Amino acid sequence: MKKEPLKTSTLTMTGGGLLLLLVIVVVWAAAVGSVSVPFSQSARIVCSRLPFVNKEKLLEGVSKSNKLIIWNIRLPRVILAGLVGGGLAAAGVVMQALFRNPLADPQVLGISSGAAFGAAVAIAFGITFTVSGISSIWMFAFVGAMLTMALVFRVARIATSRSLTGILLAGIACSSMLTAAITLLMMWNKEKLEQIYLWMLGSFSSASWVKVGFMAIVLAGAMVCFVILGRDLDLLSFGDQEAQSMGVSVRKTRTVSVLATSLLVAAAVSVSGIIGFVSLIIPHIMRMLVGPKNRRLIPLSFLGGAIFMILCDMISRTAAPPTEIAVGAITQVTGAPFFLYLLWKERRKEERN
Amino acid sequence: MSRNIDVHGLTYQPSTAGNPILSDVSYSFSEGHMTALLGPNGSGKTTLLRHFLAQIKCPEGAVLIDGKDVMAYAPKERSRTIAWVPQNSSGDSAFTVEDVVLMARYPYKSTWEGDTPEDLSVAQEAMQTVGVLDLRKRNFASLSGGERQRTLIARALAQTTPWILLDEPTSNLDIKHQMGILDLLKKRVDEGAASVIVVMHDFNMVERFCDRAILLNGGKVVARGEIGEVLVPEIMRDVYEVEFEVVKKGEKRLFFPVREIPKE
Repeated sequence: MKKEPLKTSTLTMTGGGLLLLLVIVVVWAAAVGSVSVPFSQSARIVCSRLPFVNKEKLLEGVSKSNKLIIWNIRLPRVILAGLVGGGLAAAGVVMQALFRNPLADPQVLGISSGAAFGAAVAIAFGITFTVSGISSIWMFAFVGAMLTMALVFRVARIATSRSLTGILLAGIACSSMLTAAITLLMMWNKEKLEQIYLWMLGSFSSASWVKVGFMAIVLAGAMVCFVILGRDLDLLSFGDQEAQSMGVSVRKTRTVSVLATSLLVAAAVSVSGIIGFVSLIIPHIMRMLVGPKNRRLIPLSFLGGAIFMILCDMISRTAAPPTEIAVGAITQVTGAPFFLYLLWKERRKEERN
Repeated sequence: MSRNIDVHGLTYQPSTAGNPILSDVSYSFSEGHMTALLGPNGSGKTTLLRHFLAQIKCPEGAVLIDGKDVMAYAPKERSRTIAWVPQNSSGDSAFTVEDVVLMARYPYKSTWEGDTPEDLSVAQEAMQTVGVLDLRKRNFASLSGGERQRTLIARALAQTTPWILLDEPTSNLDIKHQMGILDLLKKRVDEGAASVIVVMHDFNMVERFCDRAILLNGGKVVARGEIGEVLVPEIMRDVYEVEFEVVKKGEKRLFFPVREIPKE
């Protein structure tokens, strides 16, 4: 019993540390770029929008162009990257809990392919317009993702009365069908091939405050569901029957969490493209740090995912200026070796015990 | 009002082509007993238990727990009435033994309620009773088969229900732990804390610890009632296709399997 308080303080420290790190990373990422802004100025510009702050005094001596660059260009991008990264990581935790499989990933639901197909259709047929900050490609991607989600659930229900394996198989089938369709679209529109391909690799270069707002709303809703269902997801790790015998409404828990995850992933993919690995690696790292309880794992994975994605996006736009490296490539290049190292370390720890 | 699990004409036939797994099973499990659920492999014991847990919805017949249809219970309400120790747990998670036992307090909690001091002391007592208190910081996944089984029994005890169902709870345990677990279950029954229904295969243990039995064969009830009415060599011979020799030892009997009877 003596160890209890120590564990709580480790948890608070991890949470507090990550939150502090996130704030620093946001300010830093906003300062770095083709035009370099001093860290302190970046911090002051970020803080100036907080309530109860004397704006004039804080922004004394900050040039107008710096204000514009940070507030209108960099900050929406940084925050969008954070929301998408955090959202994908949280969705990853929920998927792994639901499928009781450490390799489960939101992408297996086929939603990402649906979004990619929607975007590919918009690009290939040259449908480009913007209505109050919402571009046609974004709109098509989100609708594509939602339609795929509906299709997957429909097929799963017909095939195997809505079991999880049914959803998984339907997701994989729809996903490969859509990937084939995207390939065909690219073959028939070779001049658009590069644009479609780049969209699929993922990028935050088209970030805007509208996208940030949209993503924030969906994310908030999904996170509320996840945290409410956190304990039910814990019990579900013992399988449907055992969870039910302890009082969990299995069907309700599953339906709500699959729907919330799908919606969250659809929103994330539609604003940024397909960015892999975050939803796999961050939950694993966080589980090693704070244990398997979903109520703490989900919010902490959100923080971890947000930090990771902001850093990856920063690398993507600063590593080889003036071109941008696809952020999806960076998450994989940096994430995969680190993940392998963690697995190796974990293995050695087990061997020593 | 006394507590009962009443089974009325339960028939379960998952596919129209095959034989029914349960056919017209009726029995009343009354409180204050440790009832053994007996039968050869595939005789429908686990399927019967699954009906008690509302895991299977059945078109024919009904199961009433304390007078109320099992399907009519809200999930948490049912979990405060009946606890279940599965034969094998599918859990392979990084949760500690203590976390696992505390999960049993779920049906007593509202959404945002954390673990109360009462929960902690109930869990502690349950772990102490089955002897897994020393393991409480260990990962459930890292336990041996017997340690897992005891943890699951501790979890069922921490659920503090008037009914406890156990599906071969001693299959992975050494003789000392078998005795220990059956003894503590019997003690619970004698104290009036819980009534127990347990699937078992060891007749000597049934004779030693149980006071009621129901014997299934091919989904039908073959014998039921007091142990002396069910553990009858002639009946067992027909059901198990094994001949037993019975030796009197004080008040109790010992069952020796003598030889297998070849199928005609």
